Amino acid sequence: MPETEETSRLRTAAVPLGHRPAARSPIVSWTLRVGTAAALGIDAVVHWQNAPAYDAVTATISQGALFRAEAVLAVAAGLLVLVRPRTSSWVAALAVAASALAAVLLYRYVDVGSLGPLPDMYENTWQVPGKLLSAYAEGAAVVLAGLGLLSHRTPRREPLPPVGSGP
Amino acid sequence: MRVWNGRGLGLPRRPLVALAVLAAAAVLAAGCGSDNNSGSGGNSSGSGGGGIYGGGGPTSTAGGASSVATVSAASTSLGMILVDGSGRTLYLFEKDQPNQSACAGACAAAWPVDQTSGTPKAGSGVTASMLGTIKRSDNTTQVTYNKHPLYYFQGDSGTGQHNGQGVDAFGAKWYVVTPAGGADTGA
Repeated sequence: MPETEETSRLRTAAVPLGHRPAARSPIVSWTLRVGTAAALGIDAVVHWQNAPAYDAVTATISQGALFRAEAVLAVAAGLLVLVRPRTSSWVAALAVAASALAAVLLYRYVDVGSLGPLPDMYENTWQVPGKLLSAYAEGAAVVLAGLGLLSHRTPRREPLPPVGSGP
Repeated sequence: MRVWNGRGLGLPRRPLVALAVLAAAAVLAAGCGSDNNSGSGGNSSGSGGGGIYGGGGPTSTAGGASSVATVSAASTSLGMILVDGSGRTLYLFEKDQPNQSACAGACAAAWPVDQTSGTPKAGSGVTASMLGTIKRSDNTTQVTYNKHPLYYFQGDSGTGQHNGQGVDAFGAKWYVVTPAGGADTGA
């Protein structure tokens, strides 16, 4: 079939660009980015506000210091996915959220005591201001950042045959 | 003729999109709800609001900040333990030093202090001479018993509950208090 203006335009529209993310819709992209940043923001605020109450829970490093570090990392990761939504940013957001969620679940249900420089952070209750909310936010951030990472992954491209080739 | 290729308009074309929207909605719902203390029953009178999560500074619960607290002994499934004038369970914090509270901020929001506006009254079953008070950093007065600062637990929604018994939080355990002035560790 000879290439007309119409078939040429169709072919151009169908060819994926080099590193164009899978989530081409700006709505999806911004939903994932804002959602992830918001969830990490909730996580950060809760940890920052609760940190002083945990300064006395200490080994080499105090639980309060760990909470502040978590807050800073969560804000940084949230900003990264907002302003620079690349694979590394999604990985950072996923790592921050997943590690925080794993930690809160571990120390809620398992008394592991002190681990190396970490203090004994066992706390067998959700009755701490913001703790449950923060855990939900971390879970949501894990899901959203995971989706962001998947959607950002560059799909494998099959080269198109030249127009006019084949039967 | 312009041909629509289905992209760029933000329409859900894959399950991924629907999942993303659902997850975002969950985040927004969590952020708006901020019902952080939904564990074993909420206590609407424990802590003042503060920040996005509702926790706040230490305020009184059943006793009220402007009332004189009463401490009594009550028979429960844990044995005889200290309760306030309305029957709510009182706790001690193992991290506290004698007549010195180690619980403030988020801790005091989860474990509201037993405040009083004057000398606490001794109800039945308690030793009046063991009752005392301490002044907290926020200038409120907290009831003590045998030099243990006394607290409520946000997880107790009413009288007869002692959900805070044996809870490990803020670096140490919390126990109900015996009329003899010690922790009821259940041992």
